Amino acid sequence: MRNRILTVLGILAVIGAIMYFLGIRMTKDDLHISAAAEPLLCIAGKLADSGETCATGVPFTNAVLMTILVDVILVGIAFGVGQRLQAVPRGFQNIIEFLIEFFYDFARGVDKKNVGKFFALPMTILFFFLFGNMLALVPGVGSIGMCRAEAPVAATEAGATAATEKAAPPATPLLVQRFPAYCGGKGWLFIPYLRAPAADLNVTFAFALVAVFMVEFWGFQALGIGYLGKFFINPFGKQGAIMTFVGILELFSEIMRIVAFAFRIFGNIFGGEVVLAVMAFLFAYLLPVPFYGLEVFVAFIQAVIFAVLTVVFAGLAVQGHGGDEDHGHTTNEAVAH
Amino acid sequence: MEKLGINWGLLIAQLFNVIFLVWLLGQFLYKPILNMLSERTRRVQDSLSAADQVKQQLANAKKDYEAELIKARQEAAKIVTQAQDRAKSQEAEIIAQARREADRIRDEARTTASQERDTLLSDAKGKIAELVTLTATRVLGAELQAKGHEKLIAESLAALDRRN
Repeated sequence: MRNRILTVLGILAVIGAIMYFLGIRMTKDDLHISAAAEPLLCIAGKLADSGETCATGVPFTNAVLMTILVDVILVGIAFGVGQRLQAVPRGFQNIIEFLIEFFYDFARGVDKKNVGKFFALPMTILFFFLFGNMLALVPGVGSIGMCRAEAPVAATEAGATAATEKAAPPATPLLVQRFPAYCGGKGWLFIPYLRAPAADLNVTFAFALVAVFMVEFWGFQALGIGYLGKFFINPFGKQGAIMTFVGILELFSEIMRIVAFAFRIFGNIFGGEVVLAVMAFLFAYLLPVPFYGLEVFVAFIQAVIFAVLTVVFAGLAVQGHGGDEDHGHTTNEAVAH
Repeated sequence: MEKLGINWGLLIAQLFNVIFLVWLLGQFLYKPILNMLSERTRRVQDSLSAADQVKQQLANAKKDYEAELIKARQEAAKIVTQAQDRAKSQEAEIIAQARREADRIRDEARTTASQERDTLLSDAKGKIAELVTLTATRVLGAELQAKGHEKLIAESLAALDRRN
């Protein structure tokens, strides 16, 4: 087994070295980084001149395509495994059961009473981002795509029309032209077909909004209107004026959680892609390898962090603030462990 | 916003996607799997307790069997001792009977012997008396002849010897 892995690695290294010396490597022109997901096509509209956004209509971006792919996989698991459960598990069912049971036990450790109510959301967050991030690391996801004429701004600067640029991409070796992620240099934009869902702020904001909204909803459901007592504290009450200020800070942090959730996973995953691209540009084939391993770890840990934080926030929201109930709850937890 | 790629249409579409996913996975993946897990836990616990029960029963049965065995052994020992006792008493009885019988036979033998001796003695007495009478008569007769009476006495003594 070990020998086989070493053999494969050796062959890959040789292929990489050959391709490197043949001149097939990333150039500065290929290093195109866009924080926004690029539209593959625009539904009921047309592309903007820059080629990076839709002027009108709803863009169908590569992140949307990837989201649909992950959705299909998850729904496939739900119907392939969840609806065909066997009492004696085998194969893939084991993995899914392990993931769900592991996270369920964790969530039960956080809040034993309400775990059944809020388990589905964090588990879905974990599954979606775990699969999305891992699939985004599959070779070809960010490197197979289409070529599109770039912003005419550059063209006007160069004094040539966009049409001539489009008509004649710079002459390059045929082998290089066919290589993925190569669009012939200046004036052409490379649009990958797939993009990590977590590297699109629309996806992360959607998850963050749902997560924070549901956390607040569960808080109101558990404590009623008294939930607001966490944030609005009477400055003339026994808790004092300082606690009033703290309460307002709490309210602010509650709202900022949306942004924190969305940008944490977006920053990590998008940043990881940028790092891989830059490393591939600096020293192709060799330098990205250690960072690739790091990205696998980040892909896993960011999905876990999003899910765990959602559970923890939900657990905090349904707890009473201060007083006897809180103590009772903590002692119950202590006993339960 | 434009540079970050946030698009309201896409955001709303993704929101619906999230809600759809949470609902669908919750309904068709987590619920059945969690049910299955708790069901499995329950079954394992059930079978473990059943196994414990069976083990307990087995132990009980063994204990019963052993107690039964001990009881049977005790009974057997009791029967043997009883038999031995009985045999001993019978033996004593038999011996006593035999002794009694022997006594009786000896007594009988003794009485018959004494009777025989008595009869013999009386016979002998009669004979002796007869002989004495005979001898006396002969002696008296010979005395009359005054000769040879010593010879006669010896004869009659020899005759007596012969009889006896």
